[in-house]
Amino acid sequence: MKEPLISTHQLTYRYGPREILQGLDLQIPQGCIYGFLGPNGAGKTTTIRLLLGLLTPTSGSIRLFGRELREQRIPILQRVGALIETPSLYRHLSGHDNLEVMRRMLGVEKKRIAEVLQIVRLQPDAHRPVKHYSLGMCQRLGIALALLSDPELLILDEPTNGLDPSGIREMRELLKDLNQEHGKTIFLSSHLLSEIEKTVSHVGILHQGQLAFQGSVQELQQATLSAAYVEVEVDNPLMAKEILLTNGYSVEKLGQNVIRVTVQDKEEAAVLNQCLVLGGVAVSGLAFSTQSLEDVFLSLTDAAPMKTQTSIPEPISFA
Amino acid sequence: MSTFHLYLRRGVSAEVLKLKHTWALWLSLLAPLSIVSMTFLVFFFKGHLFLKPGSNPWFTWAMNNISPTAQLLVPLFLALLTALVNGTEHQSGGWKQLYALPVPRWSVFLNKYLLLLGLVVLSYATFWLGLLVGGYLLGLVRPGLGFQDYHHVQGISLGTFRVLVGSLFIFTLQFCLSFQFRSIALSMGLGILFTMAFLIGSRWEHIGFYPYSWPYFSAAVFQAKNASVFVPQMWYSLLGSLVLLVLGVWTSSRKDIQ
Repeated sequence: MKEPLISTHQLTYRYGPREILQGLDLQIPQGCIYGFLGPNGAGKTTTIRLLLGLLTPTSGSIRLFGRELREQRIPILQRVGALIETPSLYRHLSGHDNLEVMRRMLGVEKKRIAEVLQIVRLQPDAHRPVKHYSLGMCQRLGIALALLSDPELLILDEPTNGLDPSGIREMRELLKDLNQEHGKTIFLSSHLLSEIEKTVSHVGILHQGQLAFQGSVQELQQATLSAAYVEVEVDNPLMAKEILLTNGYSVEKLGQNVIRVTVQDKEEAAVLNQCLVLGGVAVSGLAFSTQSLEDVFLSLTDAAPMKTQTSIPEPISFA
Repeated sequence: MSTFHLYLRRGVSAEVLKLKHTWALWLSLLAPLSIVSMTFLVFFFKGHLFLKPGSNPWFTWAMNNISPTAQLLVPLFLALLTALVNGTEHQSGGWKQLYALPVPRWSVFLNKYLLLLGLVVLSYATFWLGLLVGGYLLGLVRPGLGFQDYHHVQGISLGTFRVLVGSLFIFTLQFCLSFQFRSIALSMGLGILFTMAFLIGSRWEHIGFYPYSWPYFSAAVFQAKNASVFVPQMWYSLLGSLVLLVLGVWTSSRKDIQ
């Protein structure tokens, strides 16, 4: 099997007495858009800083492009572009000059500035001072800076942070374009699944310094589909529960006349309804519900009870 | 070209561009010019009152410029300049970006240090030029003062060079402070505090070992006849700043960027 572009083994980071990351095993395949999710304070930025060599791990190893980061920092970073939290911009300079500063540091060709400005669609504003830029423009300039060396891997920390819905949509399109048209592998972090679920192909969910889930979006969706319920409103919940338990269903009483039954798929809801009606129970309401990806995410990162929705939810999207 | 030079050339060139539209470059030029200009005005309007007719006016002119500069203005200027330039990086959150670049970690510290050293040298060069031009201009517009009758390019050059060397340690220390601490007020405040400590303790017999007195001692030798080029305080300053620079590069290349 091909070695992942980024792999960490038992990555642990301690800051004073606090253990921020515990035994992290990340596997980021080449060519993917990997969404690194977790609530604020879960350790996402720390992980990113470790991947960029800004922090030294307490234990464990980090490999990028099949090489140890500790031993080959410079050759590895030559193939990586990064945006860490808020973009590091010199606000007194223009967007073009910010890129020129970075260009001089990296020693890349001058024409690359025009190319990256075109990719992030900032040419018209390139010569305005950055202090007059909107937040979305700053984020795009941050990505242009990360793209300047034409890296194979982009590491972006919360690239949609603080953006309005149209800014989020623009960023999503930009990331997809970079992945599909320019062949970049993208590792991006976010604390909101809804913001990135349409963009990413792989997901890692970080909770209290540990990976709660890692895999493709399809695998996460499978987890979503396997957790479905029917909420049934009946005139006699005790009798309904009796009938359903006899038929091998798992039943939970929710309200005065409402019971919740675990089912495998939507078709099973019809069978269940028939059972109840034949057993003499009047069914006045029946609602099929699944966990949304957001619910799965919350259930993985939150100890609070899982919420369900009363219909098959559409992923939250501004697209 | 060696890799070492390549990283420094690229880094310093990028640092120079960051000065665009900032006060740092103007400060380096205007601070020395303002001192010379003020002394110039004093000599222009009142020079005849304190210069004896027929005596060499260049010593008085040079000491009136160099003395307050070395005692008070140089430490404050260095504290302000280093705080301004490193402050730009702190404000923009630029350190994390710089340390995530494919460049050796030592180069981040050294690039910034060399840029600021360049600004300091530029400032001293402006001061030196201002002293000479100001003196000769006074000879032209106020011939009665007698500037045109003497030439002290060498003496003034040496005097300025001595203060530059004498202040290198303060520069490196202030650089390290403003590199380490985000707060401009902290590094400026410490600079003012250390300078005040020198002014208050200037009569102490061991004050010559206190770094913020070194520019003063380096300047004071200007009046001495047959003095050697280097006074002890210049050596302290030179060696001290070298040690501090090595320490700064070493610790900065090992530190975690939170």
